[in-house]
Amino acid sequence: MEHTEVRRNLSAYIDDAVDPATRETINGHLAGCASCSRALHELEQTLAHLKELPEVEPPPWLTTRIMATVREEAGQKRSFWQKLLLPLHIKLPLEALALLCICVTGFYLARMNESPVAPTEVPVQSPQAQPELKQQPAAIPQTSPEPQAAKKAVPQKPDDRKAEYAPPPPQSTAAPIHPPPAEPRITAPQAPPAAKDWNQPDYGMQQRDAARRYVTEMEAMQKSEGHKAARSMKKSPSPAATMGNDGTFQTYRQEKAEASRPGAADGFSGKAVSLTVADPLKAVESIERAVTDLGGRIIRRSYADDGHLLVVQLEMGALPELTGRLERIGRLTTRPDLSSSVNGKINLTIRW
Amino acid sequence: MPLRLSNIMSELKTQITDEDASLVASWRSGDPASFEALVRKHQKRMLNIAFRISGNYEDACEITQDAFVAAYREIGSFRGTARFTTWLTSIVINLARNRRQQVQSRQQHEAWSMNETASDNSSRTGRELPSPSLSAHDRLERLDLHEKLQDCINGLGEEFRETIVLRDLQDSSYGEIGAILKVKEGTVKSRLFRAREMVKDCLKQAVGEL
Repeated sequence: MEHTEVRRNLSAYIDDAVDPATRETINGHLAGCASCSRALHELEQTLAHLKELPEVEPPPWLTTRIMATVREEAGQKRSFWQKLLLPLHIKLPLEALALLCICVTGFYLARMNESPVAPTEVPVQSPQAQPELKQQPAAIPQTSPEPQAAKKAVPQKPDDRKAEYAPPPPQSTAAPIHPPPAEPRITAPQAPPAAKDWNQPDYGMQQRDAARRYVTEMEAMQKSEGHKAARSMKKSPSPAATMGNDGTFQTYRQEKAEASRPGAADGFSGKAVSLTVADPLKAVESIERAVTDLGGRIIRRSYADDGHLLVVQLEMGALPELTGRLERIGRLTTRPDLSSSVNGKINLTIRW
Repeated sequence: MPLRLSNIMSELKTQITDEDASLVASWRSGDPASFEALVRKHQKRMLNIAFRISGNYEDACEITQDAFVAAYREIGSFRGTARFTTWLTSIVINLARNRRQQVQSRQQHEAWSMNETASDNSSRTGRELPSPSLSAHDRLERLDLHEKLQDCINGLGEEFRETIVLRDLQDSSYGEIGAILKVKEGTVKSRLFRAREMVKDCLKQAVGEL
């Protein structure tokens, strides 16, 4: 082994990191080589000085500073997780409250978007529960049945009907021909026609009542005037439309307004008169007699507790005389238009 | 196949013989006291490695602190295939290497700006020849042998300095040094030979005869 190779292995030789064969070779070389032996001695001295280097002590604050830094980072990590998961005692109630708000809002939105109940689904109430208009069973010429018109009629609440046809105060004494002026009961301002309320519970019952009355009146008409008279009245609107689905005269007033127009159906002109009497029942006979005496024909009667109605047909020339007679029966609150230039027969509605 | 089996066995042996395994496991489970115990146990060794490599005590303290904090952050990457001290020492070596590079670049910048003054100082403090009339022991004492040795170590190249510090100052084995520096044992042996020769020559140049 050459000197260079021996000296190259001296470092590992000192650390005992050479194989035994190499060690034996080095030992043999060192025994006969003074320079390599001196190199080994210098290397061992160098390592001895290196191992004598003192160790430095860590400063007392090093551990504290390391742990403080680590705890700070750990705190930051924990705060991040706290934001996500840890504060369950706060997050859970908030989330439950938010869910409740969503459910309540959704419920009210669903309620608001519900479609109205179909007319066929309206519950039918007993007839006793419905306010009825009492009608006399006398034969009344009526119109032909028109179910479509009945369906199109606008229902009205019973309260509106009462406001329109408020009954006179009960009086036990006989009514004078010219009673003292009383407060107008029929001329109360009329509310605009109410929108069709399909949810009104008595709507179906009112339709049935109107139809029932129509059948009764048709039978009476056939008995009294025969089929001819009945056929002649088929052109008139059905009682359901005339009376109104709720038993009022709301639609009849619209019909009257149409009839009053020049060139209306039948060629008749419509007029109306309203009067106040002390005893409405006793006034019925007087009014009907006045009409028939002047050649008029009664085409419709409606006598109820909250107001009477008589629709007559007579010559226009007889209207002033009829108005005079009605003034003797009661106080006129609505006078017919006598200045109209319409000639021939007119339809006159008398209310009291 | 036998070589691979022997490697696996050595890794298993390393895992079994790691005396810090229980503390590391407790630290992983969230016990900060275990980490503090590891800090107190190894901070002196890590500080001395950093000090001998960087050559500056303040820098060594910062390197040690940063190394433990980095270990705390990166404990997830410690697989346990090596000893905890090996893994921690490699962190210290890397941080010390980075710090030294920063210092050298800063010194180069300052040297360029200060021109001749800096070069005169380095030449005077770098190699101060002792008087041959004194004995070696007296000259070592006078020139402060420890400082000269540290200067010699500082004058080594990066890989030689790291190797000689780990072997001759910390008594690490060849295998452990190879694991820390991620080199083979033959490379460790070669680097160590050259490092010792350079330190010996440096010391002889500084103090005369050994």
